[in-house]
Parts: sequence; structure tokens; C-alpha cells
Amino acid sequence: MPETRRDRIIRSAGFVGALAYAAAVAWLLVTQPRTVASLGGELAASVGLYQIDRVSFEEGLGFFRQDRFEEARIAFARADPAGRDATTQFYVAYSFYRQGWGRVYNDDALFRQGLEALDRAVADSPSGRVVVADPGLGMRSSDELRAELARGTTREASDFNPLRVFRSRK
Amino acid sequence: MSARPPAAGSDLAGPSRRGVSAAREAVTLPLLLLTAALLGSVRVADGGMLRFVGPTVFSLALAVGLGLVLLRAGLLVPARLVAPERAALANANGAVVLAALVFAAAQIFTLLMPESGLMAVLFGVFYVALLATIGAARPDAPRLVQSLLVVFGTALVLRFVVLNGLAAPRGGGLVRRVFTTAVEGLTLGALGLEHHAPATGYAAFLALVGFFAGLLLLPNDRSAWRLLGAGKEE
Repeated sequence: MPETRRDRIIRSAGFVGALAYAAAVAWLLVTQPRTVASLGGELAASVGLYQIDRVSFEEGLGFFRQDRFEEARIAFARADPAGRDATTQFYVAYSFYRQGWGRVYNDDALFRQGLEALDRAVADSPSGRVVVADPGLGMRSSDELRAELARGTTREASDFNPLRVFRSRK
Repeated sequence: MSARPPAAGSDLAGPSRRGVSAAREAVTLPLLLLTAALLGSVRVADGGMLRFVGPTVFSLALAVGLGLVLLRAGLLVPARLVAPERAALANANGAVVLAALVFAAAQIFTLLMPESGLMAVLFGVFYVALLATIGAARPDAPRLVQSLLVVFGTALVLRFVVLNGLAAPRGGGLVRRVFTTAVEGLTLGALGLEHHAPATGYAAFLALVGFFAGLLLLPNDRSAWRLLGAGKEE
């Protein structure tokens, strides 16, 4: 029995729809959104519509400048629920650095979390590098912050230098 | 007057005895199978964190094995999906159905197998033995569907009720208490169990429903009810 025009339309639409659906499933497997909120964020980011909540970001920045790092991260998480904004994730990484920094020793666990947040920041940046023009920061690029966090989590001879106690937090 | 049985390979020569509508082939089947694949990839942790697990190479091999078993049983008739007599667009729809079937089957195997540890090995051996046994027995399509329903249903209960109960953190449920009492002294660490939130079990159940609905709607000589052992051919 020859196919009608309606059948051909159904077949064409079904073919395109099935390919789009398969692409969406593959996209989920590749991007691995962790929450329903980040699922929406990933989707919006993929079509260039993702925007952070500026009010929560400014609030987080305020906490960050007052050295209230846990409060800052909560606000940053509210501002960037999908973790898709490079600048916000840079500040999250920086908050882990400042909280984990110690004159005598650093908190390795916090530094590692900082590296994870920095990985997200770099992944979200099209250039693969994040630069933040904030005069209050001692390190303004992801490269400097990564090197500092990596140094903080490794054991080396300079760790036993007593003059370390005179260094300052960036 | 009694109807003559269709000649072997009659589906290759002309229109199928039980024609499949364009909507079923182009829309319903891909939708069901891809949804089964998607639901089969979802893992929800206790904190509500999502994870999407893709097919492993082993589960892809098992899926191809299952495809061969479906082929031998006459449940999957590739010539009704892709054949020279069909229009290019119809062949494209058929190819999508075949690819979606293999992908969904791979996701179902990945879903119904622990991700690591001793249990993953045991489940893997079990599925290989199962496919080899079914391949050797050469059951007809209804028997194959019914036996797959039993096997996958049992695996679902084992994976998401029994093993999930054993892996439950802090105290766990009745399953864990009974098991740990019965095998006093055995630690569960070597089994490599992972715990999932109940939502994973529900998603797995729906994935299996979608997968079997897709299997039942594949173009072949039998109706879906007949394949399930209910009702007779007209």
C-alpha cells in the first residue's frame, strides 16, 4: 500500500524528533547535571540564556569581603545554582583559598574544594582562563589561584621554613 | 476455509501481514525506547543529587546479544524496519528504531547490574549465561518475551529492593538485618554495593515498562497481547 502524504509527514517529523530526543539524552549523559536546578541551568547555558542572580551574587561578594566565607558560598550557590558562571565559581574557589589559608599550615580539604570550584570556573570560561578585575584580590587570574591552591596541597621542603609564618594571605 | 500460514520470509517479499503504522514506527517506538534509555540512566542519591549513567561496553555487548536472541525468536524482524523495498524515509525510521532498541537494551543491562564489585561480576556472568541459554533453546517470541519479563523483573527486585536494602546506610531495612544476621561475620564492603534513593527504583521500573512496551510493539507477526500470552491471533 503506497504511503500517503500524511504518513510521509509523520515519518519526517518522527525522524527529526527521534534524533533530537537522542541528542538530548546524549547531552544529559555528557554534561551530567547534578540537580534539577543545574539541569535547567545547563540547558539555558547551552543556548546562551543562562544568567546568574545578580542580587545574590552581590550579597555573596559582601560576605566574601567580610571574610564570612561560608555565608558567601551559600549566596554564590543561590546566585549560580548550575555552577555555570565563571566569575562566581572563581569567587567560590577564592573563598575556599582564603578560608583554608593558615599562617602555619593550610587546610588541605578546603584547598581541594577550591581546586574543584576553579575547575568549574575554567570549564565555564570560553577562553579556558578566568580573570577578575577586583582590586581586593591578591590573585586575579585562575592561573595564579590554581598555582597557589596546588602549592598549598603539596608537601615540600619550604613548608618547614620558619619564615613561612611571615607570609601574608593573598 | 482455513487461512494459510505465511510462508517463511513472506515479510521480505511484500507488505507485512500485520502492517505497522507510520506513527508507531516513526514516533511511538523511538519515543518508548529512548525514554526507557533515559530513565534507565537516572541514578538519584539520597541527597537528591542526580547522576546519568551511560552504557558500559559490556552492556552494549549484552544488548547486541539480546538483539540476536530477539532475531532468532522472530520478535525482531529487521526486514520490516530496513529493506530495499521500503522508501528511504521509512528505512531511516527503521534504522532509528533498531539503534534505539540496542541503546535501550544496553541501558537496561547497565541499570540492572551493580556498577562495581563482586555483585557486578556475578550479574555479568548471569546475563551472559542467560543469553547463551535462551539462544540455545530457541524459544518462540511469546515465550521469549514472557521469560525476559520474569528475568528482568526479578533482576529489578534484586537490584533495587534486596541489594539496595543491603547497601542502605545506618541501620538499613529489614533486608539488611536479615542478611547480616544470616551471614554473621561477613562484611558487605567486598560486594561493592551502592545505595540509591527510592526514586531510582521507580525510574528503573518505568524504564523496564517502556522497554517492554517497545518490544511488544516491534513489527512482527504477533499482536502485543499474544506475545504476553493473553488472547489469540485472529
